[in-house]
Amino acid sequence: MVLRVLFHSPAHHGPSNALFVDADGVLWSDTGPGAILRTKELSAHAHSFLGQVRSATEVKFKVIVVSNQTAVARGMTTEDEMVNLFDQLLLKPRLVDAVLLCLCHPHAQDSRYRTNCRCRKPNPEMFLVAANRLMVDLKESVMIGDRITDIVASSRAGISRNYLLLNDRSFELNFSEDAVGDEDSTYFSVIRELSEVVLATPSEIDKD
Amino acid sequence: MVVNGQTILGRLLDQFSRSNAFAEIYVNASYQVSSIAKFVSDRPLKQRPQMIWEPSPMGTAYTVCRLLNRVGDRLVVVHGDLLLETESVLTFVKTVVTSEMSWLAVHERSQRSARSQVVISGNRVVEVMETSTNLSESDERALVNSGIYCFGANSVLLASEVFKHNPISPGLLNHVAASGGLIPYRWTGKRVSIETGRDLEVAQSLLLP
Repeated sequence: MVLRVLFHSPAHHGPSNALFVDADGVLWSDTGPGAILRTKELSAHAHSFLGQVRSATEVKFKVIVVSNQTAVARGMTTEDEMVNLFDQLLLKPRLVDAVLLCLCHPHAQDSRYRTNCRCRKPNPEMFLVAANRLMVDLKESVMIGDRITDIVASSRAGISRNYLLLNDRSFELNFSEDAVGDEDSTYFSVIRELSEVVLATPSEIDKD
Repeated sequence: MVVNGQTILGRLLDQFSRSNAFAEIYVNASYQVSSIAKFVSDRPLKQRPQMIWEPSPMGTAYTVCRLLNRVGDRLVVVHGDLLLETESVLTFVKTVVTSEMSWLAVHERSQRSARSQVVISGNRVVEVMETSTNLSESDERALVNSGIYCFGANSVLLASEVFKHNPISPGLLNHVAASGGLIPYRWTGKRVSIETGRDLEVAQSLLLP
């Protein structure tokens, strides 16, 4: 398992609710493995959305990025460069509180990363690690992903409010790599734009 | 499936969304979830439904049990192949959402064409019987399951594993009925279950409001 966890210190301060977001396809266009190497900037929608979440009146959530990043395993870049890009793009400007990157791939060229690890979505490990390190209550948290495997992972971790940002590839599943358990039920709301996300915690929604 | 220019799912979503009675609306799908998710996201609904995706269908009874435990509140359940009259939907919703009990919608059918029968005593459902053949050759009327339910928040607090891979009827209904808490609701409005081409023709001829 090669999982990199980047966060501001002390990370356990602030709200216990978290907004989890996937990176490729949510924060920037998913142009295939190593999309961040080609993009190097957030989409305008994502920048505006994170800005709103970060605004003084909306600080109800920690914002945590959870991303399978296979570019290192594929030999497209180094681990340091990948970490540095996420740091520069998201952590330094304080747009997010933490970034968790699964760098493994079952067919990696580099043997250090060649594993079908438990941190790779649709496994829930990244969410569980984030919950532990950043004192996050997963039941009160929200996830936005653009692949059903993102949502399966967050659902398995116990997040009840999940948003699937729909695109043509949202339901592509590679069952050989991303076995989805037969017994799982996955709950999600379908959205076309980040602006459709309702950033109220489940308990607030219940009160309404 | 389209009936008179409307998909059955779209019609159901519109009707229940417009009733303003529900905190959440869920659409359960195992097959064609991609198409259904796109359909739901494209639809200008008053209330955005949540999808429940089961990669391997777990049976409607089990799905209902899990959802009841998840929401901790009453749950109205409708089979997705039903074409219903809007006025009847609103009347049903108005009746059941203010009640703590569980409800089973029933309608009359000749025994000759019925493959289920709902046995009622007083104001309670006693038993739901299902057979693979028709109940009798008689033209007498029988009460049958309409495929529309409301489960009370505490109606299924047992280990729901019992119902895995089972439909709602008859097992889950009989479980709720055994506690004495299942009330029959007489569905008098128009209602068509679209299972065959003939059903589709009937539905199209009805021009349901």
